[in-house]
This record gives sequence, C-alpha cells and structure tokens, in this order.
Amino acid sequence: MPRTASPILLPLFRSSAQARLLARIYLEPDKPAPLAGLAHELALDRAGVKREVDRLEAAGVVVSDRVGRQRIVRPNKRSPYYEHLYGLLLTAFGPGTLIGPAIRDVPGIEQAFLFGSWAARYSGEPGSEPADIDLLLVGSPDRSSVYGIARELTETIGREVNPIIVSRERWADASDGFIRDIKQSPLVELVLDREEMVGTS
Amino acid sequence: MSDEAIQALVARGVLRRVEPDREAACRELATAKQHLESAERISEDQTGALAMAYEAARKAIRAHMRANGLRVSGSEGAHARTGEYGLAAFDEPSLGNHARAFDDIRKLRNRSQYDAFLVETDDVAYALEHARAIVAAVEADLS
Repeated sequence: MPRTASPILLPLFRSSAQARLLARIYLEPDKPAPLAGLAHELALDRAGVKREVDRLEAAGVVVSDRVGRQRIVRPNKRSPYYEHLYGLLLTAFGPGTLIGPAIRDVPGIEQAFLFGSWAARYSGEPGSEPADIDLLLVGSPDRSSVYGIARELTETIGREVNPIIVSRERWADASDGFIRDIKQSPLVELVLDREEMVGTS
Repeated sequence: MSDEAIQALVARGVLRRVEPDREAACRELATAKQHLESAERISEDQTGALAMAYEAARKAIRAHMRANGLRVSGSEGAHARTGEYGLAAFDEPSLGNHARAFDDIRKLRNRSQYDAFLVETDDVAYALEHARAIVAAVEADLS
C-alpha cells in the first residue's frame, strides 16, 4: 500500500489509507471485513492492507479471526483506545462510511454523493473545518424517509447532514448551473450496494 | 406545548417575552393561509411554490408565538429560531413531525434562494403537506 498523505480531516493518522481502513473496521463492525474484501472495497493494495492490519493488530487496536482461508478483521473493543478512537473516527470519517449503509435501503435512490466542504477535505483539498455534511441523492426517494434518516445521522455523526434530492434527468442535465457546479467540485460517491462489492472480491 | 422547552429557549436568548397579541396573531395567520392557498395554486414555478409554502408555515408559527407572548430575539437566524419555537410548541408526537419538517423546508428554501438549487415537484409536495398541517394546528390552537 503506497504511503498516502495524512488525511486533512484529521491529520493524526499516518496516512489517508490507514484512516479509511480504520474507519471501515471501527464504524461498521457488524459487516464482515475480510482482508481481501477491505482492499477491494477501499481500492487499496492487498499486501499493503495486510501490513497495515498486522501493525494495528500488534498494537492491539484491531483483532482478527481466521474463518477458513479468510482473515476477518474487527475492532478490539477491549483496547483502552477503543472508545476514543471510535469517537475520533466517527466525527472525522463517519459521513463517508455510515451514510451509504443508512440510505441504501430507501427505494428510489439511484446514486448518492457527498459534496461541499466535507467532501473537499476528504478528497484532500485544504480549507476550513466542515460545518455540515452536504448529501446529494439522485433519484426519486420519499422525502420523509430521507429527511428522517438525515436527522438520525446528524445525531450519530455529530454534524448536520443536509440532503438534497435531484431527479436522474436533472443530474444528467449539463445546462443546470447548480448541478454543473457540484460536478466540478470534489465529490465522494457513496457505495449503496456494498454486500455485492465485498461478495465479488 | 412544553412550557419547560419554551422557558429554556427564553433562557438561551432564542426567544423573548412580549405582551400576547391575539389580534396580530390572527392577522398573521390569515396571511399564512393566503400564502398556503397561493402555494397550492402555483403549478409551473416549483421554487416559488416552495417559498410560498415555507412562508405559510413560518408565519403560522410566528402567529402562534405572538398569541403566546413570544418573539424571536434579534434578526440573525430568526427563521431557524422560529423553527426552534415550533419544535418546543408542537411537541405532541402527531405535530412534532411537522415541526421537524419545517427545518427541512427552511434549508431547501435557502438552497433554492441562495444556491440556485431548483426544487422539484416532490419537494413542493413535501413542503405543502407539512405547511398545511402547521397552519391547521395553529388555527385550531387560536380558535
């Protein structure tokens, strides 16, 4: 795993890759995290992920179990760092990890993106601390369901999650200035069908 | 209405106490109802319809405030503070949903006004559904 720069959202971690790996393991503990699946899901080099997990396991931050030929990684809830690390990861990286799974079962959502200042910092663009999380949903989901979930996510993540919904036609419309501006700014696409991605790895 | 929650908003400086003014409240509610009717009639201009529906809800909540001798403090964030009053005033489960939706509509309306975001018919339907309920709840309370 080539060394990536420290994450701008919280430059305490040694690399963006390490932060994303920890966020995935800590913030979605109920979703099996086999090494190969993690590398595929996070688009990271498999050998690098193994080295990073070895390092984190040696430090007692994560633990892993052998299931057949797979090595499944999970957070070490007995670690004295667990509570603190979970809180740091949740605040800094929760949006990228938690919003996709929270909305993927809402019918009518075809694509989901984070945009605005959080997405910019996550993508490595320097700037001020993001005040809130801008979420763009493509499709025609029920508004009440989306806003209800956004309120729950706001509580969980500790930052306001502000959704907007645009139809597929508008998302494709190059003459819409608002959409054009968003497409030209840093976007983080959320995975809405992760089970399939992990399964195919 | 949760007196405790209202008191907390006064203590935080979100609201201030004034003389209750029932007549002004009824006038404001009448304006809110007009806005609601206008919003219902607009069919082509979604952004305009959403703004009207939002204004109907906001003025209805403000009418409720005036009848109960309260006003928002200061002008900065006055719309968000109106929403905070709505959450405290309409705390029954059946109305809380509408009070929470007021804040969603406020943010949508801000995006459409300041970020050139084009709202869609489903956004307007969402705004109208909750604006209607808020206006009706205030009307029931004032009658």
